[in-house]
Amino acid sequence: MVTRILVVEDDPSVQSMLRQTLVDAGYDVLTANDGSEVIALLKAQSIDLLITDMVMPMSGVELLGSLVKPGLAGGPGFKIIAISGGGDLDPERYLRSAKLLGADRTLAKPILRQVLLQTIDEVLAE
Amino acid sequence: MPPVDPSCPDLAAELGFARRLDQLERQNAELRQKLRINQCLCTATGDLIFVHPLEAAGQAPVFASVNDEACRRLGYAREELLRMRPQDIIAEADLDDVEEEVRALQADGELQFLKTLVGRSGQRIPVEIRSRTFEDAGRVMAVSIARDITEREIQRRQLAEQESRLRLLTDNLPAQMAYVDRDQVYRFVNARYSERFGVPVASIVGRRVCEVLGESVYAEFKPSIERALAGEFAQQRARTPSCADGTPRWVDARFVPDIVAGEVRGYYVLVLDVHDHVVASEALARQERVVEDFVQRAPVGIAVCDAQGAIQRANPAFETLLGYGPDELTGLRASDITHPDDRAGDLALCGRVVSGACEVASCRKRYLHRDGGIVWADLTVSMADREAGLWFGVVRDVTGEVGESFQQQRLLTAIEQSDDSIVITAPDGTIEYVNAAFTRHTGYRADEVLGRNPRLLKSGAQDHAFYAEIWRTLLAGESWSGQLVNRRRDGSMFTEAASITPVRDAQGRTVNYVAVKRDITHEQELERDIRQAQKMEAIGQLAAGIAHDFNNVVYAIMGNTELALTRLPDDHDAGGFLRDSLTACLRARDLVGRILAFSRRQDAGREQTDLNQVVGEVLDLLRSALPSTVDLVAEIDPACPPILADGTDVHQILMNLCSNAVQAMPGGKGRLVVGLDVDPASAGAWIRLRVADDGAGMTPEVARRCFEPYFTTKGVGEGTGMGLSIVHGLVTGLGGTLAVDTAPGRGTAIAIRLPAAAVDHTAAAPPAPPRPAPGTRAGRLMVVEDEPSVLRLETSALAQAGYQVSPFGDPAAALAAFAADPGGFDLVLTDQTMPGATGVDLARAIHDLRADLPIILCSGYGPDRSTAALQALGIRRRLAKPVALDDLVAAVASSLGDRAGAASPPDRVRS
Repeated sequence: MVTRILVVEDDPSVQSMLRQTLVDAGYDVLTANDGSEVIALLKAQSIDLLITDMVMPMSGVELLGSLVKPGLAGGPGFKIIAISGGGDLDPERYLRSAKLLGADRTLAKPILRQVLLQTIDEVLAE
Repeated sequence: MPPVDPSCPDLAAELGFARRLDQLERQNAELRQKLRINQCLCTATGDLIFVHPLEAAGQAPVFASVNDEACRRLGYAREELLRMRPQDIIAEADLDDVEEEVRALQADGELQFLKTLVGRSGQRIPVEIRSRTFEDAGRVMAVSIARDITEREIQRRQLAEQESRLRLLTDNLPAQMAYVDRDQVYRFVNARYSERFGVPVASIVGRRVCEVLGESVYAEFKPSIERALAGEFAQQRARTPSCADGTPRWVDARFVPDIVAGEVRGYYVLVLDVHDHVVASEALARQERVVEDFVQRAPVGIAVCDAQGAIQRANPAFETLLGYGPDELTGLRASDITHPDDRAGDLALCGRVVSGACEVASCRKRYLHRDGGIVWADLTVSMADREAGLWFGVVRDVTGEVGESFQQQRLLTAIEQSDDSIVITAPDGTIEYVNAAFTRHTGYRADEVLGRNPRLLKSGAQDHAFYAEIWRTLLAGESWSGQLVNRRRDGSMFTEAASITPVRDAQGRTVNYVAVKRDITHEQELERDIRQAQKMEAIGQLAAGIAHDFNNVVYAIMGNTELALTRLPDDHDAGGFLRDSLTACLRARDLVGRILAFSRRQDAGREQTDLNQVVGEVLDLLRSALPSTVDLVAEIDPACPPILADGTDVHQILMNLCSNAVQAMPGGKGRLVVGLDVDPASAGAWIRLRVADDGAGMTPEVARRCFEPYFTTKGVGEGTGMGLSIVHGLVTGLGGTLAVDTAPGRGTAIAIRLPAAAVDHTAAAPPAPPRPAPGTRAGRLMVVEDEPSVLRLETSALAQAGYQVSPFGDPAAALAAFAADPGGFDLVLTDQTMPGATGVDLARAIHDLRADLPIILCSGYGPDRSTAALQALGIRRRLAKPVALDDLVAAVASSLGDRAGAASPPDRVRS
């Protein structure tokens, strides 16, 4: 079964670029523009990995906060990579928050393709 | 007595001769017998007996007969004496009376008189003579019997002497003396007694007492007299009229009964004039009353102390001064009421007076009021009674004066020590006073400028019109304020914010100008620095604001470039262009990253700071900023423990040192070494940070001053002279030290030692990482936040970290839950701005229920409270929104740690 990755990114140019990169790498890719879409989408689909930006209309922080319910046995059932280029705070802070909320890996934008793919491999192998 | 001549018989008649003879015989026998008896008597008596014719003295008949005793006492033989006349044995002094005595004897037939007889050897015999006349054969004869009265005379003389002595004695006694018999008749008075009545002694003796004293005086003494006559001693003080002018005088009269064999024969009176004494005593008593009154009412404190310093008595003013009630000071020691710091001086002062080193001594000292306050007073000590060791202190309250002079002193001190320079000039501008700050700011000592004009500070930066305007303002009686650029003594320029004000006297005349000037050179430079910093901050904020979009843009370009590259054959011409594009993207990424790192403003205060990270950031920044002519060498020990610091401080320290080092490199070429390691000699307690260059180096003079503010070797506009001074301030602020190793041409190495953050040695594990891993926390948290998404977020983040979280969307509900179980929470995290109640309101209510509970307040902006006020409500931390969740968790963790370390037990609940 092909590994399914959900990319949450509100910047269309980044979203399409990421989608193409992952498709090229052989993944089944779903996309969402905002955290709220993810919630709806996850009700219908199961995924192996969530790659989410942290600064969006429904922020990645909020998204992760709602996805990773405390004490929920087994966690969300998929891996999470948080990516960020910064916002009101510098990207490091967002990524640290993401880590705290259960993200498996965090990456600061922009990300070299090789770094991204290698991280995905690592996360999925865990 | 001369013998009767028996040889004259009457032979006329023979008749009866025998009868007659017989008769004569009988008579003769009788006569002889009488004669024998007489002779016997004359011989046996101890008196001297002389018989001599009584005739006029001039006829001087010799003695007819003398007895043996007369011969013996006078030392003459009888034959000799019978040839002598009475005049021959009478002392010459007694002869004058003889004629008179003879006549008296002739007239009366008998006479008794005194004479002194003189014997053969001149011995004198006082005699009492009784003479009697008789007729013998028609001649008037006298028989004189002289009795030796030598003994009696001696006794009489002795008695007279005794009496004379006694009188002398009594007359010279200061007392009046008299003896009165039981009939109250004077028997003896001395001269003084009689003087009292102005009459001779003789005129009193023999008179009755009541008669001499007069009715009224007698009546006054009568009771005492009666007691004396009853055999009792009596004494009485009375005022009796004096003899001199009749004014009454005080006397003490004693009445001593004269008792012989149990019978009162009279009494002695002894009267002493005590008038002067009584009057003096009364005067003294009055004087004492005046003195006592004075002491009682005196407005100064007066106390009498003994040699040991114990207070014997104190007057009301003293008691009031120190807040004591009547007599409460008595028995206290002077040291008990003296300020501890003044006790030694007080003791020395009293010692000088008590020892006699001086008569009076004074000092200003502090007494202790009963309520513990201080009472300033001037104490004057003098001796009250040297023999008894008593001294007295007069205490004048000078608290007011001291306060006043203290105020003045404080005013003077304030002016003198003011950080602003203060210059007072005469109306013509002549300098009359400058304070210490003036000297600090200008370099001129007071004695160099007094009497001179402030124009000596002129720098030439202001034109003539500028000064004319100042004078125009001042002469109009107004104050002038503005900035002046002046020149220091050493020629350097400085900027002052000055305010010059005319000082007017009561008549409104300007008597002085006072200039208060602040050296704002520093402020101006600081202002420049701040403007610079603000510019940097603005850039940083801008950078942060655009970072998200910028990074997305860069990412899109970079990602698409990479995608394009994946689709190109390796040998395609376009590959090189795309790879260059990719490199440019990476440079753009790094650039934004550095700007963000540099402008990062974490006002988190001191926390465990990883020096490796900070030094790494600075090195990154330097690498991209320094020209390639500078060889940057990093000597970093990656195992360096963290220090307790604000990361930006360390950032600034390093940046300043490195920029200085590069500037010291001639032509901007050289080697810059940044070192970081643990001081091996300190067992991990000290971190060494070292910045070394191989540049110009410093002379010892420059090295000595290089940390002074504004000290710079650079030209105008090249540097503020603050760089190393800021470094110095930051390093010492972190508890560290600096050392400079330099020499001209040999480069400069600045070594900084910073204390390593304390490591919890109770844990066996190696130093804990600054932020413990999630999921390991324990504690019951109440989270109050009206925004559901934020509440959800905070709740999940904290739960993720391992805490047991109770979320509340409404402060009222949160308070109700807390009141129901105040012990059920370990920490409260609350938003500030909520409907119904603010976070501070909630904190206050919770603090009232449980004072030891840590509270964290999150607010979008600072509440209008000082940190101390917040802490009083139990608010340990204030977090500014938006809060990074890791900061939130860290704040919760450290607050709970605070509480664990606090002394108050967690179960201390206020009802």
